[in-house]
Amino acid sequence: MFPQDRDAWVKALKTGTTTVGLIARDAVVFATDTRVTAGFFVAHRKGKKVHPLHKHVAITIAGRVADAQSLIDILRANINYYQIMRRDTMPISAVARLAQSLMFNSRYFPYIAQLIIGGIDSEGPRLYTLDPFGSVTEETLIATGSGSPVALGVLEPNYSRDISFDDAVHLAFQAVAASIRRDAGSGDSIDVAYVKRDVGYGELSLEEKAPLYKQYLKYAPV
Amino acid sequence: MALGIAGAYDRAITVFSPQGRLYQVEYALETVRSGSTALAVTCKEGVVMAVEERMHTRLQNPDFSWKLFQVDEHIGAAAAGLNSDARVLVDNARIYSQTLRLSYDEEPTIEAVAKRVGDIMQIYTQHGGVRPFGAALLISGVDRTGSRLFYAEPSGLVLEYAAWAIGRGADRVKEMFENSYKKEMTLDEAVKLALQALVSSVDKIDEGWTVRLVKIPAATKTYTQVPPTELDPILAPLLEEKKKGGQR
Repeated sequence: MFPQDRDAWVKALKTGTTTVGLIARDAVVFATDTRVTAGFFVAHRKGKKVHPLHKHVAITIAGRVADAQSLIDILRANINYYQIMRRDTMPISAVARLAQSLMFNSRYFPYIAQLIIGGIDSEGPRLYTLDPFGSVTEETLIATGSGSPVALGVLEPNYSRDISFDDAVHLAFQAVAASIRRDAGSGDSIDVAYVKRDVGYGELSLEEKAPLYKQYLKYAPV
Repeated sequence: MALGIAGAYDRAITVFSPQGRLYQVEYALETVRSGSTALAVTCKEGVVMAVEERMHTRLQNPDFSWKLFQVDEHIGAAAAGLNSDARVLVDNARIYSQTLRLSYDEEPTIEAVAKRVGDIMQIYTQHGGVRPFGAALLISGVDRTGSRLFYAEPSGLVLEYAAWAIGRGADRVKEMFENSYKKEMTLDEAVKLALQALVSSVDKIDEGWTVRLVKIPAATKTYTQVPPTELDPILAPLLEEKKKGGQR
């Protein structure tokens, strides 16, 4: 695939996914759908799209699953190594820079993945998004994947920088629920994860999500 | 050409002497033997590693350890001999441990990492233009097989022990381990034994003599530095006793 071949790229970059990430007070909150597609085929209905990279940093993935998983493995190894060499947690900005370098270095044979990297370090909660060629932007709220326009439409008018953790969980869930309703590529169920100050990475249990499903999706996942 | 007792075989790099010995490797072991003491003790509840470090001036940062290293979440290393050589070996171990995680998505075993360090040491006894490492390592931790302790020396030899020591006080420490070691010890008892052995191995306790100790409890499988505030209550009576008893 040549860099000039725009149509081929547009096709390759088409994802069927919604992931969102947003900064809350002393936390970063993530929500994703769990539908994995291969064209019009639903390949998996409980695919994991948000992963811990370390105790203090998480990543969401959209795009080619194999590429993203491979990136996650390399990032994890490097974050562990950083931690042990310096006896200090790796800043989120450094994690984003590492992912950026990996992706930029293979820009002619790219990792087809849109990433959200977020977590808490000594600077506080931080959120970054990366495209397949390795461009990085810092965000306070962001969505990736085919459902992202719908999700952003929900996120943006309802977000404020000092949003509480509980409100942020609701907002993230609501945004993914909206794109599940209106984006054919997103669906099935919703994962919610967070990195909280002094707590680290965690995910909401099915019980904790039950009232959210009831409120925003009107049905429980199967 | 002046040939000493060892002939010229101690000047060329790792060439066999007619007696079948590798003098450079033996000299490297001598470097280890004259290094400051490092020891490790295993028990069911985990492993303990302790080292003596001498502060040569009050300007030195006492928080900086140059003999104890974290290799992975659940693996540590204690070194004796040339610190610079030890650091290079430890960094190799750290990278290898992460490589194993990347390749197999599992917690690396202590044995795999220790043998890798041994392999690297062996390479430096057989290649041209290099010298053997002037350091030995005690590589210890808790993995899915339990508490493990390996010793790796400049020849490339790797052996497993329940408790072991390297450096100039090693003989006295090992003597104490032979008499007092029990596999059924608790981790706290292992800490006490490690400190007793370390104190007993020193000829003279001077101003700059410090002890550093890490635990890797089986319960957490995490390399944990024990702060001086926790060590001092155990250490103080041992030092007092040593002062009273004079020469051991």
